[in-house]
Amino acid sequence: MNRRIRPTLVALAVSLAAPTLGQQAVNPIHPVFAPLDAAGHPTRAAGAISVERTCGACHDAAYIAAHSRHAGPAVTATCVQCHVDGGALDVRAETLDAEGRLVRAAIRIGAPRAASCGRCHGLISDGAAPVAIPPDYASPGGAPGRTLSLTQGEGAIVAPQRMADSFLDLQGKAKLESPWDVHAAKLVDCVACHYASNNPGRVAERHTALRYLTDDPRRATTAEFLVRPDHRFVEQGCRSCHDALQAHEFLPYRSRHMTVLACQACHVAAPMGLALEMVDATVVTAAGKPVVRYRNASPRPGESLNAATIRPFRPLLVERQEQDGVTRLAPVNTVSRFRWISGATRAEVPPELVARAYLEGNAYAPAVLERFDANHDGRLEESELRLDSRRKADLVAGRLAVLGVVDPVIEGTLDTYPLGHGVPSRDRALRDCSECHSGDSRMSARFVVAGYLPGGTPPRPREGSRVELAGVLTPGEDGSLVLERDREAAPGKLHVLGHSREGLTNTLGFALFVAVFLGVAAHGLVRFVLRKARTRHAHADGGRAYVFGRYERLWHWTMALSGVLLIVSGLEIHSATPRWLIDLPRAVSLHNVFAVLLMLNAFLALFYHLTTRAIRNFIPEPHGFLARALEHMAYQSRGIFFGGPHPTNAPGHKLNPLQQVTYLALLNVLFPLQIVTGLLIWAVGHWPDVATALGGLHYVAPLHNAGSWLFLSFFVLHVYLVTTGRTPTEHLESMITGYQAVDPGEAAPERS
Amino acid sequence: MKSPWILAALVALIIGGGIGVAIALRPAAAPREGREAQFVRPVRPHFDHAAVITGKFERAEDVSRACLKCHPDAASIMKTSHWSWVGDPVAVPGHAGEVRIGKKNLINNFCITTRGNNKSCMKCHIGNGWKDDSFDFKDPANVDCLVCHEGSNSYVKGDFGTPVAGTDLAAVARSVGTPRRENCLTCHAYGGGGQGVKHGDLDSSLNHPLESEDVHMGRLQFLCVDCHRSPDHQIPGRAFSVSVEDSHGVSCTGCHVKPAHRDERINAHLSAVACQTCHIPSFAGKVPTKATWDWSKAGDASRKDDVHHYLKIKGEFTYEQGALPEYRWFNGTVDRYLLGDKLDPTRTTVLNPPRGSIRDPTARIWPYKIHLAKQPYDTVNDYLLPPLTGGPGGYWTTFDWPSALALGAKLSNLPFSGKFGFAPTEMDWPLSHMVAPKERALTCTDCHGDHSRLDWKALGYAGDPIKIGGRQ
Repeated sequence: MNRRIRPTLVALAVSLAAPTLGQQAVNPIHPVFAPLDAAGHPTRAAGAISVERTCGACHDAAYIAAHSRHAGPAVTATCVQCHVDGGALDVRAETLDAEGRLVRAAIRIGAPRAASCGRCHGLISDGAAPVAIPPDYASPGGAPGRTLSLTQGEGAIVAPQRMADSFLDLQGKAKLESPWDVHAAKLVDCVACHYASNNPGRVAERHTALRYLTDDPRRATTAEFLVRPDHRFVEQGCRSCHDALQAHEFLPYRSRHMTVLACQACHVAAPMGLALEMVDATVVTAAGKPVVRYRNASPRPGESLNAATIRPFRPLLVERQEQDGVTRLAPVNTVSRFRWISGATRAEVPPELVARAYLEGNAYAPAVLERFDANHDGRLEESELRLDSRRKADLVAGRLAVLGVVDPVIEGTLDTYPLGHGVPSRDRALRDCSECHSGDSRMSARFVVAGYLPGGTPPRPREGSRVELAGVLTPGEDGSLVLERDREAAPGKLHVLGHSREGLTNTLGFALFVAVFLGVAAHGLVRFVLRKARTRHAHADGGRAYVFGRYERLWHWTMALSGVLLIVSGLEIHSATPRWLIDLPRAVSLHNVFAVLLMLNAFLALFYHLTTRAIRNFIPEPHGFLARALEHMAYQSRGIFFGGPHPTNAPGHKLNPLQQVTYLALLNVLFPLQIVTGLLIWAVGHWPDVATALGGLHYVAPLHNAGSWLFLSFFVLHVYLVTTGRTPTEHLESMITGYQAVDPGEAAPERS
Repeated sequence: MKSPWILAALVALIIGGGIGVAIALRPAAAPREGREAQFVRPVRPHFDHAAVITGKFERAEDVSRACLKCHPDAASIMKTSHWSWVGDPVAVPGHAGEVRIGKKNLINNFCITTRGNNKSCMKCHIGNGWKDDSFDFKDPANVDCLVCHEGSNSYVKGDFGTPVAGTDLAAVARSVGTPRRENCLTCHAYGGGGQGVKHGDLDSSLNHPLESEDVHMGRLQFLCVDCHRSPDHQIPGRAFSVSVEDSHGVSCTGCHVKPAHRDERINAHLSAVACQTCHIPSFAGKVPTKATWDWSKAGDASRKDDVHHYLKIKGEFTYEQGALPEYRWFNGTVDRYLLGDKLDPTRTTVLNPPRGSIRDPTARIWPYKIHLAKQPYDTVNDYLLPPLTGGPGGYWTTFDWPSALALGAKLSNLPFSGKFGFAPTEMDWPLSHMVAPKERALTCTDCHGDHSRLDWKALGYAGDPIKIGGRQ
């Protein structure tokens, strides 16, 4: 008959009972066997079983122990803890046959399942029970090596359950429809990525160094593998299964993003598992436990962790060498840990001893209470229970010395946990460009390393870490320790559009722009003030001449509008503040299209000028050039204010010498510079090899930026000079209609 | 003077073209929001009949006549099974020729049969007083327009389907409009003698459901008639308790023409899995539904009456709430137990077994409410017996099985040997209502892996198809 679901009862069962494991299927292939004791004799007593002897009867236990990270000094997981349901063989009178062998139905042995891994590594399940935080989460006990580091370090919870259905109090929970881990939800379990490194069914490595061999079929047979499985497990990265370039159609600069970013940078961008920030074992709570501060929750004293509101946290982006040997930007969490050590031996003071230094019976020792209890309420609040003064530290050190600790000092270490697990569905992946491409970028966001510093001791990053913490550890105002990084740069010398600033080119360019702007403003102001002093030129005197042909006006206006759109979209891309018109992908798209349009236009105009005689307008007439140039300068600085006569151009030239020099520079230097640097920026986005050769955008982008400032300056100057005709709009009109008023006697400029 | 406008137009064309290209090349936008909105049908305000209905009505038939004055075409409802309680002639597998079957002549797993039990059963017939075979099915005035169209919430059908005494027919008539959820549910949620007895996916909670219970009604404000659209009163929809095939039915794909899941792996399921299977993760979420009904326990005066556990007139029940469906192959047709069919009393007789199997390419896996019962049968003739329950001589007054069965068998023209027992029976109810919002739809692990809700072996698979592959 139909089964019932009783959500409330399920929740109740979870809260009251220890998490139960789903049953592993009966293994139809594993031979039946008799459990052996330490002497190698069959035994019927569960307590007498020797796992090494029993499993070692067929599997090479010595080889496995020598090739396993789970059989070290700190961690000693036995075969059955991982491979057998419930972590122990089901040896009872009913499950043993007459010869003392386990019956088939009791052989629930197989590849480790999520629950087995979860027993030590964190909140991991395959869906048997709703996600809930175990009662001993703050200081995990039980099996050796039970660190729950996947959740505590990474903030990862691996479960197929939807976050909204879990037992935890999550910020914005109702809308969290993603599963905790999309792989778990799609039945990709732990061993799918972490398998024995000589598993013949999984090994895809090339065993050959010969380039003309694509594969080497010689590998261990299944039987050989089952005798000697290499338990140094593979750590598969995302890319061993995913071809990221086949997805992400929406993403501009796709290959560039894939080259410099770890998948997790976007896909594990807001972990919702309860992650640690610091563990302070230099003090003990009234319960004798270290003080724990969480990265993304602030449980009130006495509050169950299941009831504490968990917020998503912004991980630290650092350079990290990934499984494939490539260094990419990857998100990490850091956990700082503080403890008492003996200065002589650097050995950690046992936690029991630290507890005895603080507690007498079930309460704080009077001397401790007196020194720590700042508000004299008889209790130690979280803000009081910390070694934030010399006097407090000395008191505890003294009490430890009395207990026999030689030269007790405080040590702090900083552990980095790359975020690799607990990948939610793509809806929770970063899709907002401004998370990185803005002033408030993840690339250089402040990251709190420790909420306070016990005994003033900064934590030392652990040696041998695959992660480089670029930045400076700086004390924050509230006593915390913060990793500060350059606000305008990104890790790994990356140039991040919209975030990175190259101070030199940016400042110089901006200065030039401001100077030009102020210059024309001053010039215009003087013209305005002295406007009465000028004698006016009549318009009709010399009639009107047709000076700008249809095509000239067409390319000019196309060029002008393309330029404006390029400047606007370029500023949008460059802008670090929230974008005011369009978002980054649109701005990039617009910028690219109009760059192409401008180049086409420039090319056609060049063709036109070369094939007609119009190019002459741009080439200075050498004869008398200097004199004419000086004459023009004099006019611009004096005559223009008082209505002096406009100096004449070289015969047959539409442009004056100053214009000619400007346009020569513009067309021969600035245009090529912008086109080449622009093309390179585009190329960086599409060909990773080009990008590597150029050092990313590190050099190219600032050059393009400098060119943009020059363009903007030209634009301001150009628009201003348009107003310097006989009337402010005369030049504008001539570029629209093609006709220009001519002075009497002046030869009409040659129309091209 | 050359006009600059042509030039300006040309420049505008070039720049506009550039912007157009930029927009076209713009990276794919975020997934479209509110896609479901295109399926929502606006409900137009209905003409207010208060202005035109002014008279007084003595009898329900008078109201019908008043309706027909302006809506003569409405009599077309008399061609439908809402009126006749039998469908069009249809071939029932295992039976010769074509028969017309329906509520009128079928046996079900609940109150067993309507024949002879008109007093109660006809409360849900759209007629005014179907007492016995003398009821005039030709007279349009006998159609009860009000039960479907009234909007006053004050109209209750009493014995034989006539309005209960004291009904203000004029007030009710003035309130008519488009059928509301309440109109449909007044019968369809209460079939079998009480709320949630028959369907596990239709109950009074659908009058005002939360969006987590029914995405169409709760989130998008659908009415029943938005899916069961009825031009000319030919209301589409098939219940496989009384139909054996699905022509003139309503299906998800009627609106969701191309079920486009973002994940191709989900789309690969569509040939083997009905929409309902994933999108109705559980049923009877608010109101419990009847799971079992044991008639053999009826008549025990010593037991306390309790509508959800035991009634002397009906026997013993169990109900379930928030139930997980069971899953069966279903190709849209069912077999049907007809009156007089032989049965094997040692096995459960399924009255409407769905047809289809893993080898039937038109069949898909459907979610089901399975209802089990024990019913009286003739131990000599080996067929189910329809007892007379309500009315004079019925079991509910005499508590005497032999006489009630004899009367009922006579009404159905079945020979009764006088010897009877109780046989296990089953009815299978495919679920189609109470579609959950997509956030609550099933996910991979609900069916695949160690915690599957499907019995792959029972469905004909060698094992979990995520490992061994689906059917070819």
